[in-house]
Amino acid sequence: MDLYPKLRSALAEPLKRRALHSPLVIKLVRQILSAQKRAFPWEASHLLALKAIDQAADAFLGRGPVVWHNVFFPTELLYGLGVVPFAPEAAAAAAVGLGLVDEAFRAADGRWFGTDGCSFHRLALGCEVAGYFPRPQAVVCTSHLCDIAPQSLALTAARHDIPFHLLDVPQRAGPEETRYVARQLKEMFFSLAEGLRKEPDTERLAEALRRSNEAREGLLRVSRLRREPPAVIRGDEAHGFLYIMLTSFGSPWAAVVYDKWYEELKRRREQGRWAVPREKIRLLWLHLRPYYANDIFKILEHEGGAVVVFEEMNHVYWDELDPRHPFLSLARKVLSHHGLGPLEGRLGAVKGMVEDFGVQGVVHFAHWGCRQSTAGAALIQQALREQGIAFLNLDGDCVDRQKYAPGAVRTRLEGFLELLG
Amino acid sequence: MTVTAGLDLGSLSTKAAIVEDGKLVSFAVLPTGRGGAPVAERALEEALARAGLKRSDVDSIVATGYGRISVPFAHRRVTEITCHARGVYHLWPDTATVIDIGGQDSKVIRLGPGGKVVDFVMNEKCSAGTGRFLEVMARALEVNIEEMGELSLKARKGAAISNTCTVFAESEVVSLLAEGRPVEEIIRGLHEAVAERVVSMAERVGWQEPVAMTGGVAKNLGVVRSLEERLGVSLRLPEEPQIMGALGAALLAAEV
Repeated sequence: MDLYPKLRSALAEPLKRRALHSPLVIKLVRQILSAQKRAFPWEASHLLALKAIDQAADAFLGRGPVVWHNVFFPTELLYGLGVVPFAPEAAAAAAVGLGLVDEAFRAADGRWFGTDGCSFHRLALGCEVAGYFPRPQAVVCTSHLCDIAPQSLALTAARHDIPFHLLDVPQRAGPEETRYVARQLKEMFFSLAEGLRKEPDTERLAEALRRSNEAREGLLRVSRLRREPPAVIRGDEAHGFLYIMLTSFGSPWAAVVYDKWYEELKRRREQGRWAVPREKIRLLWLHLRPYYANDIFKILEHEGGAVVVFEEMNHVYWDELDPRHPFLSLARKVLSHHGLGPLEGRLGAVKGMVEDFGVQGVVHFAHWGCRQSTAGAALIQQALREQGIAFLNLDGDCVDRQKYAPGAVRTRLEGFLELLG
Repeated sequence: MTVTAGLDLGSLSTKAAIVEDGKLVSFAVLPTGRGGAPVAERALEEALARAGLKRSDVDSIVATGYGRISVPFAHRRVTEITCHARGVYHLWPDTATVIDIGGQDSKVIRLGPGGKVVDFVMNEKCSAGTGRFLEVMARALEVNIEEMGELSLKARKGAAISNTCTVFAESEVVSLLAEGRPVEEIIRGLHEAVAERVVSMAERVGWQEPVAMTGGVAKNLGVVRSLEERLGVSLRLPEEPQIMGALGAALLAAEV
């Protein structure tokens, strides 16, 4: 998909900060994107791109109070408040495609942000310092999974002298922990409403939870369809839909995109339009993928005939939400993340995905600085080995291309495919 | 008669092996230099000449190593992981683990029944723990790389040296020289640093005995001893450890 070159050319060279805040430029970009339906491999991914542009436009043009959040924050709360959510980690991935990395890294380095930390956050901070991201009116963040997010986002809040709300998530889930998280969510909801001068409308919050449930159902339908061999969508393409999981649950459009995706998957399956001409190997992808130009999926899917049939990040880990008890319900969602607490949770989830999707191999992309994901690699490898499932730990960085060694990556991937072949 | 060739284009040297009816009949090792097809061609011609064979006698060619994609005349390309495993399996079919330390990377390969690769791990992007690491250090110490093994065996203990970064290690070596530490102790320390790094990789794949070592660094007895001490086993050393990837490639060419 040549979305980014098109965006880059639309915004002219060099990409100016002011352009991102210009209604005219944003309208132009949307029009170009809207006309580029054929450049997208799926109608659903085209629709998603348009929705993401609309969401970004709301943030950049200040169509409401902008609240920054980390990707593990339950966004239903923000949609329920009627504010404009903005996820700097997700925006950092887009910044890679827009060619902002070098400038942003330099800006982050100047703020003592070490190169051994997560480069999503390094890049996000750099983009914010360089003026590429919309100014937040408040920042919310969870303490679970990503250990650098609370520090990184607190720095942004401090730089703008705005409130920083930390959702303290315990490592274990239980009735007391659920009440503890729910109390914080409730306090945050009313405190944000007061600070941002929004009506704390609990009916709107309940509606956000209902929409979240619809999206959840949609994603579950998509996932069930993706279990059937042969695959109809390559992992390379499916990864793009992670944006919804990380930013948009509770929005009015998440379910719409998932429904469209489901219909397309179903149609292509009926038409026998497979992801690769002859599916040889089915793979599961753990953690995220690199967002700069790379050959990883070309080697696996185009050359090797393997298909990444599912992504850990698309796993629905929580039960249906109860709109009558929004805070308790969202607390349960947060606490049920398979990556939270002892590794058994993630192991169980990964084993379940291996079984459900009938994969022969698992690729774990070990993103530099992401301790929550990489620290458990040895135990995941061991558990999978006991099940006769091959495991590849692929060291790299999702946004910093400097850490990508094409030859070494090719050898690892081809060696892995040979092992599976 | 079936004649096959294996070409292993590594970062420092390019190897060619000729196999006739499943037996190694000749080989050649050339510096890679700027690499690519010309050096692969020369290595192949040299190995064929040594065997008294012509290019037209070759039924199939498999290329391996980092430069495998730049050999247009190869019939197939296979990674060095599979090729080293195949080469070692040919020599010792009961081998369970292969440690390969080449110029640019080091890897540990676990073999299953029939010599099939069941798991592998490679060093990260940096060159610490590879032949390049030792080459850089030899230059800093002003010793010939071929002498390093013998020199290190003369030392009773090794100097403590970082195994995480070639650049840091080089500056440590310069500091140790300035402190007057004997060169032998520094070299032993370097070998221990390489061994430490490789052993941690071996642990990641759950290494088992018997263990064979391949790659140019297997010629360095200092590294071999350091590895043996840490693993508590005797390593199987091929007569020509450098050509095991090329041999494996030639054997795989016969299986096409």
